[in-house]
Amino acid sequence: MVYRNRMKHGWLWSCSLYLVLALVSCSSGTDAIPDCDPHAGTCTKQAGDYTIMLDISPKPVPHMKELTFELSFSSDSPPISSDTLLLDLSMPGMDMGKNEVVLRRVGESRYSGKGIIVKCPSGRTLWRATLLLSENLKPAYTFNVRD
Amino acid sequence: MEESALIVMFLTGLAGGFGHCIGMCGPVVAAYSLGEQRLKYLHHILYNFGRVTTYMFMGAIVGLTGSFLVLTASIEKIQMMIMIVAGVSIIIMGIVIGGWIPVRKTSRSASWLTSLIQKTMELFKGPRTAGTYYPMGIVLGFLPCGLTYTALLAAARASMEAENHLAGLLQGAFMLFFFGLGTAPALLLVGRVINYVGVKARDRFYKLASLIMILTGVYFVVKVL
Repeated sequence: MVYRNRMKHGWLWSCSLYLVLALVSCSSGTDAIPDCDPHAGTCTKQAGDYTIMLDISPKPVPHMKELTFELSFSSDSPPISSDTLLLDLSMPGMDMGKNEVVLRRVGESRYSGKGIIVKCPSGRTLWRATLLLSENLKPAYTFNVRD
Repeated sequence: MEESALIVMFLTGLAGGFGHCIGMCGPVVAAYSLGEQRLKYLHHILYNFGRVTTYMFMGAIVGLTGSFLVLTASIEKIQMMIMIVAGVSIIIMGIVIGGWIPVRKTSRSASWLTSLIQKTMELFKGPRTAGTYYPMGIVLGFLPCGLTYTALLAAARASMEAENHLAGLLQGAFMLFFFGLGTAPALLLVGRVINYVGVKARDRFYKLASLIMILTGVYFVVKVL
């Protein structure tokens, strides 16, 4: 009985510690910084032999509005065989669920798709768009959303 | 309807519950958990069931219309109102639980203002009846939440491929039901731990928790105004 009580209390205190750590990690946020300004124009990233440009419209890029994501590869990039690509939208330091935009081929080296960046009531505006090109190539664009 | 989509929604809720809801909704759960020792798990289950009901309702609308933005634009003002009411309630609960204003039974000699304040405080002081928690969960389920928005977005996308409106409605409702179910364990854990720590270290913990609650309530109100 005493052992059972100790086990129960130990378990609950462990959970308490976990909760404190979870709350601290949530409030401390992330050290990610923006490396792209989609409000001003196109963002360019290098991934392996690929040079990839991402453009998001309308500008400034707001939350909770339908956005068009356009991706284009530079002419010296190797050809892409897939007709669709996935762009994963996430918030650094906060789990916002899986939000992937399907980009469909609209030209020889151009892809386009519609998506929405959801709003976090915490006031955080930093988002990351990660292109899932292959297992090893996942260029990411980190930017602030502006309402 | 694909079963895999429902499993994905459950896992999204489960992971998000521990990675997102604990930080964002923890103070809300703390607000209704403190001062409630009689019900053990029942109030947490009822609260979460209420929350899941709201998610199902929103999922059904998104599934029916196939549009995430139609729903969010329609409920934006309601969400703001709920956020203010929730914020003010959490502030009052924080004040009551922390004992910052002593709550005594109203006496005949008390002025009408003192009497009104004390009666209001008594309303927010636990324990409450079990029947309070389900409607509380329904109302607070409407609080704006980025993780829930993402789940609704997934339901809207999936329902666009549904055979007809009814199939879309059911798909949206079921997807959000499984998502909500996934978020419940994290919040049940928060509530249970808050209850436990509240008993073990009542005075110090209640003071600290009440301060966090007051700050959270103020944050809710300020975000809207």
